[in-house]
Amino acid sequence: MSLVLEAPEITLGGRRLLALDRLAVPAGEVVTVMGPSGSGKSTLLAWVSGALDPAFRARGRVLLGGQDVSGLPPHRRGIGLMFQDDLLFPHLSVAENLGFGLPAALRGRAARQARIEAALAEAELPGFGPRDPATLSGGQRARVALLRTLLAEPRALLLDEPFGKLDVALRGRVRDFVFERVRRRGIPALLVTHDPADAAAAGGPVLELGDAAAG
Amino acid sequence: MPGLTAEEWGAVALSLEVATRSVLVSLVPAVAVAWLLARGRFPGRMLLDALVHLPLVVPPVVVGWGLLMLFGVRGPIGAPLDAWFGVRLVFTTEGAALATAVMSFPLIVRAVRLGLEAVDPGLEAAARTLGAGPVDRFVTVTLPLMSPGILAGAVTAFAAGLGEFGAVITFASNIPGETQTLPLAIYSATQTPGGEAVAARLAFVSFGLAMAGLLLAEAIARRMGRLLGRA
Repeated sequence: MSLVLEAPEITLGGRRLLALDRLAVPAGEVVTVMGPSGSGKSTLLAWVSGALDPAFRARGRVLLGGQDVSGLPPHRRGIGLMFQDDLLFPHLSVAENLGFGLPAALRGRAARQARIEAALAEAELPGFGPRDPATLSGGQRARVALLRTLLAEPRALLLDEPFGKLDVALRGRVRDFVFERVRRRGIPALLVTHDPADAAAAGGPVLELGDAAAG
Repeated sequence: MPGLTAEEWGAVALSLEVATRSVLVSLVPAVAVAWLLARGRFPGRMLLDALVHLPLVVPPVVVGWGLLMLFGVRGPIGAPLDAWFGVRLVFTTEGAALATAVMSFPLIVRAVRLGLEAVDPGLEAAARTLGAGPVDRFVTVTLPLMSPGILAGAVTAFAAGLGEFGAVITFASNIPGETQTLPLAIYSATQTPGGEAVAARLAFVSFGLAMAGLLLAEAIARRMGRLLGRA
């Protein structure tokens, strides 16, 4: 499974915000997109996920494992997205948050529960299922958010500055946690960041987006 | 409550019934309208907003008159209702509930809308990337998170509905046991020689119910806020 962006071109009110020839993210690799604010990094991710604001005009195709998903709504694309905010549902427990995206194909309460508990144990959060997300630390919340995204079994992962709000010590650990899982699952990941240390840790190719004015 | 006669209790019970029915009638449309006003992007949104808020600023008698014109036995809605379903709203308890519902509608819409606007759109975006379709997102994320607003709106509208006067007396008239709610009974008592004691007792009940409703609305909003991790 690879993620290929074919000739994306995004414009806003007739002004070209971003244009690329082709960007391929192989399975199990993290491609980093860097660039100054306003260069269209987050807009690119929004387009890939299918949630681009209608104010923008976009051309190009998103291919996932060779399949064109450009025409699908976000919830049918199977593309996971991690944001700077963990966005855990405050009215659900940790386990219910994790269960939210579990594929419907996984049937039976016990099986779903087992999958959630295994994920928690693996993330060194055993027994955290019944907890209220509000009682977790920043690093724990970040890990739960990532687990939730992964349990939905996405075919590709988009990371929009997901470490931006974590302090330096925590950032390294959560980063390793994320990249290690991307490699192990063999899904393509596209990372948007300001932080060169993120790009270095990702270990993949780095794409520098130019200043919007240059486009 | 000491010293209320059966007839006075009847007015209290009728008020509770009318207020309850008015909330039941308006709750779902109010959520839909609040959604349209908060999230909708369509021409005429401002007009809908103004229309919804009209009962707050127009004299209640005018609202009652408008309902008479629309739902009267010869009105454009009242006539077919009568002809097809045998339903008459004028001068009935149902009519009193309808008039009350129209009057308290803006109160529910405002509370629901506040509740909806307090929902972080990021959470809905997150639900979407987790594979939840529009209906799924609304039921599992948006609705529970906006429920404090819905509940607060329902309780406030209920408390206000207990006291609706002008629209009810105009549209449903002042029939004891049928449409004579608490405020109408108080009004009748003040018009009756020697009715001061009755008016005072009923006014006291009215005050107590309204206070209880408002305190309940506040308590619910706080409790739900805590449950949802926002307080």
